[in-house]
Amino acid sequence: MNGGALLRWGVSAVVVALLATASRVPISALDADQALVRLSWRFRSEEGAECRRPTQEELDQLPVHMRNPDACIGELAPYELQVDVDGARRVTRVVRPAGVRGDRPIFVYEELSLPPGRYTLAVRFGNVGEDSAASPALTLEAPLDLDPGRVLLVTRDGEGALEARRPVR
Amino acid sequence: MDAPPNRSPGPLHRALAVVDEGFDRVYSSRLNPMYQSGPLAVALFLVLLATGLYLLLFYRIGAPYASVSRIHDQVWLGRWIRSLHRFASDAMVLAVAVHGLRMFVRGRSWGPRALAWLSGLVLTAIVFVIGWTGFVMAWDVHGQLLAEEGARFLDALPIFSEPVVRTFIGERSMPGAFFFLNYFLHIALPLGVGLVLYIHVSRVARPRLLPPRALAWGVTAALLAVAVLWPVPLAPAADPGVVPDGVPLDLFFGFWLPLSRRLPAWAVWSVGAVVIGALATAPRWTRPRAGPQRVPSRVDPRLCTGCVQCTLDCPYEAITMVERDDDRPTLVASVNPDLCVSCGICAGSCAPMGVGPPGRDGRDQLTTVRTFLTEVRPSAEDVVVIACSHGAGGAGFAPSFDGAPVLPVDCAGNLHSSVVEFLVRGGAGGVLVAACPGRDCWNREGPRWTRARLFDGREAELKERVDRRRVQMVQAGLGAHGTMIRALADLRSEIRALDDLEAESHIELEAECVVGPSAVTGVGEVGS
Repeated sequence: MNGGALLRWGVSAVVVALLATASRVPISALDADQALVRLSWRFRSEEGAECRRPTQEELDQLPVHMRNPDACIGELAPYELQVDVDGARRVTRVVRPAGVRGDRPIFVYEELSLPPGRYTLAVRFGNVGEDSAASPALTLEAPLDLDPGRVLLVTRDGEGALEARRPVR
Repeated sequence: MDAPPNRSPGPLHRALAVVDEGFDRVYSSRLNPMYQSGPLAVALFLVLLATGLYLLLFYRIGAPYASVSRIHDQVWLGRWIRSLHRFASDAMVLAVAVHGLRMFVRGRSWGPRALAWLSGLVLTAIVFVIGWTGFVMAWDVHGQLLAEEGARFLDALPIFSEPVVRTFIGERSMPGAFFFLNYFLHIALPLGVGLVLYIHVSRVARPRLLPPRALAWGVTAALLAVAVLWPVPLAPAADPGVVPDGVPLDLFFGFWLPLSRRLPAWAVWSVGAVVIGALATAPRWTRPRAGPQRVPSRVDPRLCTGCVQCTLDCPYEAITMVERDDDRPTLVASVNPDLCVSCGICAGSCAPMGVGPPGRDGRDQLTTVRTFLTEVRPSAEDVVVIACSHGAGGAGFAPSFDGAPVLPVDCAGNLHSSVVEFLVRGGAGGVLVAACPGRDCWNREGPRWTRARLFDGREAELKERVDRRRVQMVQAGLGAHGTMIRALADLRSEIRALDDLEAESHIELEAECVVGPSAVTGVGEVGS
């Protein structure tokens, strides 16, 4: 094998080796030593104050199969999400119903990054401005054991109540 | 002939020239992968189709990770076919990136080439989507990371009533419809590649879709070797209960992930919009100011003989033959200005000098060469270098190269063979025509047609009366200074040998014609 051929083989080997290396560069998680709590659920909101029934005139303008006299015209009510970790407030957020007209269900999605350890998680999800004595729509108070790099999911169970569990694989 | 743009190349162009020259030395100009980046991408696409068909036989939508794991466990076939599939896709991204960069640096993004530029962007986008869906199909942590990040971006748009990210967080089992969608896109989009590729090359004549076989097979063999020796690993299965860590990221398809994960979705959208917007509007902002070298070719119907050679040589199919509006029996050439990129190849193809861009047709070239001869007055020892201003080792940027006077041309393919004849008849000992490498012509096919016209009798040929030993052609990229020096030295040496030969023949002639003792003595002296 002459020098030129040797150079060709050498350069080709280096190029494909670089390519193969770049196809598997390990990247670490942003917070590999942290645990993650994900809050995610769907909730059908109550009718809001601005909600009204369609008039007969409005119904007549709709195709027959879409005429629902009980439909709410106007936004559904917004809800407030509050999350406390060991008694300290970590999240306070007003969640509005989805959709351009605000007439779709509420979708809650929130992530909390926490150091591994044992915590008490308190979640409260109720009407905006509701006083603390009133019972919220959804609530959860539970001890959590969080391992590093693990994810815990807070979502609704089959009954509709909040639960903290391991995500389904 | 207008002087070619006498601006020295920009830093990107120079950097590219250095890389080109390096690869030229290693692989030769013919097999230089830098010159073949576009065809190489097509060849790699074919490798992807072949390996992908095999993988599809074993892939199961209902058990994505398990089926990929089974493929990976086929140590003697499945593992390396999967690895070859991956490496070929990575190499394709690399080839596409190099191709795009070369086109950008060379200003091939505006005017009649805008269609190729924009369709190239669409092709690139399709390639990325195919790649991303492929990673998600495996449903390992890499796929999970891509899917979650993609969902995060989509959720930032006010178009989904339900957050897309909820699909991937383990609230419920992954829906089969999601994997079917990925599967469908991964198979359907390659069909779209064929269609867009057709549009991509639709404005060029004789598109070369595949690289030389030696290069195509060489690249495939190299990728296969690395696939066998160092196969791509199978990452752990996707698990929404674990924060993905140490994910073996494929940088070719996920180069943006390390940065995007640190930015809010709106910032990623903003950066993406700026980048995509800049690329999509490149045909507008890369268009140079109007200049004489950018005006489409025009035809002088009085000179056009209807020979059709310009229509055959035009690399962009911008010239057609149409009916004449006078009483001559032939057709006449007509240039479509929307397709003409003003490469000037037609100027060299027209023996009667009836077509070419304004300032660069055959007659303009003769005017220029007359002026050149008056100013330079080359001697019989001189070699005149006709240098392409985009390559030729950069010879076209100075009035002389290694002591040889330089006549710069915008593209060697513009050159009318009469210019060469004029130089030889004007006293130059030799003419070195310096063009770009064959697959790296600044325009298209310039070196090919010029060589054929000078040495192979192609229409608008160099006349028989010109001594071919005094004319040589060299193909050298912008960085190939050494190649130019060697070619010049070779021609000079050839011409010296020719001159010596001619001098000797004169002496013999004299000796035969002159009778007398002194002449005999003279011959004896020469012979002693």
